[in-house]
Amino acid sequence: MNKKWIVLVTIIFVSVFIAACGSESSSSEGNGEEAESQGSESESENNDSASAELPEGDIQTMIPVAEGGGTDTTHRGLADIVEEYLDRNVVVNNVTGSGGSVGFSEAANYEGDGSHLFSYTSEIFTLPIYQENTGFKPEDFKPLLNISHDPAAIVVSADSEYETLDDFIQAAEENPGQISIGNSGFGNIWHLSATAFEKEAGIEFKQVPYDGAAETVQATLGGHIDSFVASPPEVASQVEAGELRILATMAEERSEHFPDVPTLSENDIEISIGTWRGLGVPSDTPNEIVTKLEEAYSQAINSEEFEQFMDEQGMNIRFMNNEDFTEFVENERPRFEQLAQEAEAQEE
Amino acid sequence: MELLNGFVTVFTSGGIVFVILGALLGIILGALPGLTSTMALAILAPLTFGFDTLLALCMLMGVYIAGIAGGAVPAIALNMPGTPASAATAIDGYRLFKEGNQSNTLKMSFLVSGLGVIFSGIILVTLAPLIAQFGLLFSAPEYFALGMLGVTIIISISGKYMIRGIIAALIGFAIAFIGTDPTSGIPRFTFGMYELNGGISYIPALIGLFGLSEVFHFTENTIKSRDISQQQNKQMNNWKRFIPTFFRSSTIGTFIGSIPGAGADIASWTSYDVAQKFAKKGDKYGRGEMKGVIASESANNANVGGALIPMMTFGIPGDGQTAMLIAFLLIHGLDPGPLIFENQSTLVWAMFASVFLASLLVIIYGLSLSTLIIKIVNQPLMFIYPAVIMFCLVGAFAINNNIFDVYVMFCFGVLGFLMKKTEFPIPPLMLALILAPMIEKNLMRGLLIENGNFLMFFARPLFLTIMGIGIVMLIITLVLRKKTPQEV
Repeated sequence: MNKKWIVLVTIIFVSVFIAACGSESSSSEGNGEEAESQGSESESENNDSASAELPEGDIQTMIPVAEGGGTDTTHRGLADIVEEYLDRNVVVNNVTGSGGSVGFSEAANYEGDGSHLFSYTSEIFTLPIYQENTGFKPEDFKPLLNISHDPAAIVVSADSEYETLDDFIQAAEENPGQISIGNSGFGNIWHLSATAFEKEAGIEFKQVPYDGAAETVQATLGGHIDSFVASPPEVASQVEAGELRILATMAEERSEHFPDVPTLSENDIEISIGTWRGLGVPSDTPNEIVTKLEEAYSQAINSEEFEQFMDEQGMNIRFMNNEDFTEFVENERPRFEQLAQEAEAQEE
Repeated sequence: MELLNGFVTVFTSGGIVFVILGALLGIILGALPGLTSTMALAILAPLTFGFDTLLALCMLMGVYIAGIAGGAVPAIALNMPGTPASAATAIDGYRLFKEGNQSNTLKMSFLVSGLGVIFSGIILVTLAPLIAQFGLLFSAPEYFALGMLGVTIIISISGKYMIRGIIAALIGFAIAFIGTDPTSGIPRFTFGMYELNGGISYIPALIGLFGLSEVFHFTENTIKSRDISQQQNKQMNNWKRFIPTFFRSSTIGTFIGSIPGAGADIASWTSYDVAQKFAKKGDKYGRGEMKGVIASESANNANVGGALIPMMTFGIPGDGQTAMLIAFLLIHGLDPGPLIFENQSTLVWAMFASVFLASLLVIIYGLSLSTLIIKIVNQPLMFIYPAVIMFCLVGAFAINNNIFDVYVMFCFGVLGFLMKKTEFPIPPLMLALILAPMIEKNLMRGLLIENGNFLMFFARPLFLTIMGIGIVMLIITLVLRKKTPQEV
C-alpha cells in the first residue's frame, strides 16, 4: 500500500517539475546556464521598456524546424559568431511540430525584452492560411533583420529529355497537368514557388508533395517524377556529380555557384521567389533593444567568419538591416498569402 | 585495401579514442528508457562541432551504432522499448529475461547487434553501388506495398487474441488520422488544437504505451519483487540453431535499411515476422524464444549498414539517424553524396572502419556491462520506476522540445495501461502508428502520379512482387495459427 503512494507522489512531483521548467529548458549548445536565464526574467520586469540594455543571461534563438536543415544550420552558425559581438551566450532551441506552428505559437508568448529571438520566415504568413487554428498571428512578431536567401530552382535528372527550360515549358504546354513536379511538402515554399511559376508562365504541372528535398531527389533519380523544385544548395552535390541538372533558378541574378544556369526572368518569366531566413522578435520589443540587437547581428553577419561558414555550406548571405527587411517583409506578405490561398484552392 | 587504410587512419589519428568514447556514450544513452539513438546523436553532435572532422565522425558513428544496440536493454530488461525498432525485441526478450535468462539474453542481444552491423558493413563496402540502384526502384506504389506488407505482420504479433490485435491496429490507424492531410494540407481530427496539426508524434506515444503503462501496471499490482527463477533455459546449449536466423535477419535488415524511408522499425518487425514463418518445432515465439530476440536485434542493427548505402552513394538519408549524420557532415563542410568517395576518400574509409570498430565495441561493452545492467534493474522496482518515469518525461519532451508531447505521452500511458488490463496487445497499435502515414502518403502520391488510376500500380513488377510476398506471408500466418493453438 505504502509503495503505491510513493510511486504516485513521485509521478505527480516529477510531472509538475517538468511542466514547470518545460518552457525554460533548452537543448544543445550546452554552455548556457539555466539559472541565469531565469534570473533575467525577473530583472527585465523591473526596468521594463525604459532601458535599452539587454537583459542579463543567455539569448535564446528558437527554430521551429528540426535540426539539420538549411534554416537550422544558418542559425547555429550565426549563433556561434554573434556571441562575441553580443557578449552573451546564444542558445539555439528547436521547438518543432505542425510544420512550425508549435514553435511560432511558443514564440507568441515570449517577452519582448530582447532575450528571445526566433527564426523569421515566410511560414509566419502561410501557416495561418492552411491551419485556421494556429496559436499565433503574424502581428505577434516583427522582423529584426535578414540573414540569407536561397532561390527556388527547377531540377531534373541528368538523363532527362528536358535539356533546357524551353523544352520543359514546351512539354508542359503540350501536356497540361501531365509533367510531374515534386516539392518538399504541401504548402512548403517550393510548392508555392512551383505554383507561382505555373501562374506566371501560364502552364499547369502535376504537383506531387514529398517529405523534404531528399525524397524528391530520390524520386527524380529513380525516374518516378519528371522534375522537382528545391534550392541550389540542396542539390549541389548531385549536380556536381552529373546526376541532376538545374534548368533554371527563380532568382533575380544568376547564382555564383552555378553561373551557367539561367534565371526565369531571362526567359521573360518575371518571378523571383525563394526562401529567406531572417530573425524576428516579439512585436512589443522596444526600439532601443531592436537597435542594439541589430548592431551586433549586423556585425556578425557581415564578418569574414560567417561569410566563410556560409560559403562552405553553399548558401548565400543576403543581409538586410531592420529597415530594409521590414519593408521587404511588407511586400512579401501579400504575395505569400495569395500564393498560399491559390495552392489551397487548387487542391479543392 | 582501402578499408585497411581506413583502419590505419582511425588508429593513427587517435580517432579510435573517439569511437570508444562515442560507443560508450551511445550505449548508455540508448539504454536509458525513453531515449533513442537519434536523440543521443542530437544531444552529442553539437559537442563535436569544434572537433576535427575525422574525430567528430568517429565519435558520431560510435554513438549511432551503440545507441541502437543499447536500445535493446530497456526492451529486454523492463519491457520498455525506447524506439519502435526495439519493440519487437521486447516480445520475446522480456519473457526470457523474466524467466531467469537475464545474462544470456542481454549478452546475446549485444552479440547479434554487433554482428548484425558487421554483416551489413561488409555488404556496404562490397555491394553498395548495386544495392543503391535497387533502392532507387522504389516509388510511391512500392512504398505503399511495403506498408501493406507491414500490415500483414499485425496478425502474427497479436499473440493470443487475433481479433483484439486487429482492433488494436485499427485504433492505431484511427489515431494516425489525426493531423494534416499530407496531400491537401487540411488539418483533420485536431479538435481545434494547433498542437495536433502535425499529428501524434510517435516517439512520445511509444514511450507512453510501453514505458509509462508498465509503471501504472506495477503501481496497480504492487508487485513486491519480481519473481525471477534461476533455472537456466536450455535454449542456449545449442547455439548452432541460431545461425540461420541471424543471417536471414541481417540480410533483411540490410536490404530494408537501404530503401530510403523504411527504417530500423520496419526492418525488425519484418524480420521477426519472417523468423516466425521459419519456426521449427519447439520454437516458442511470443513466449520467450531467443531466436525472436536475434531476429529483431540483428535486423535493426544491420539496418545501419543498409541506411549508410543511399546516404553515401546519393546523399539521401536511409533513416532518421542518417538524416542527422548528413546534417552534421554538412556542418563540417562535407557533402555526402556521389562525389564524397572521390573528394574525401580517406574520410569515407575511416568512417567505414569506425563502423566495424564500433560494432566490435558494442560486443565488448555489451558482454562486460551485462552484469552491471542486471544489477541495476534487479534493484527493487520502487527505486527503478520513479527513475523510469523521469526518463519517460525527459524523453518525450526532448524529441521536439515540446511540452504537448509530454501530455501525449501521458495519454498513451493510460491507453497502454488499459490495454494491458484488458489483454489487448500493444505492438499492433504501435505498428499501425508507424505504417499508417507511409501507406497513406504513398497511396495518395502514387495516385497523383498515375492520374488517379489505381490499376496502374499493377503494371509495376516490383509492386506486384511485394504485394505477392505480403499475401503469401499472410496465408502462412493464418495456416500456422490454425495448426498451433496459442498458449499463454
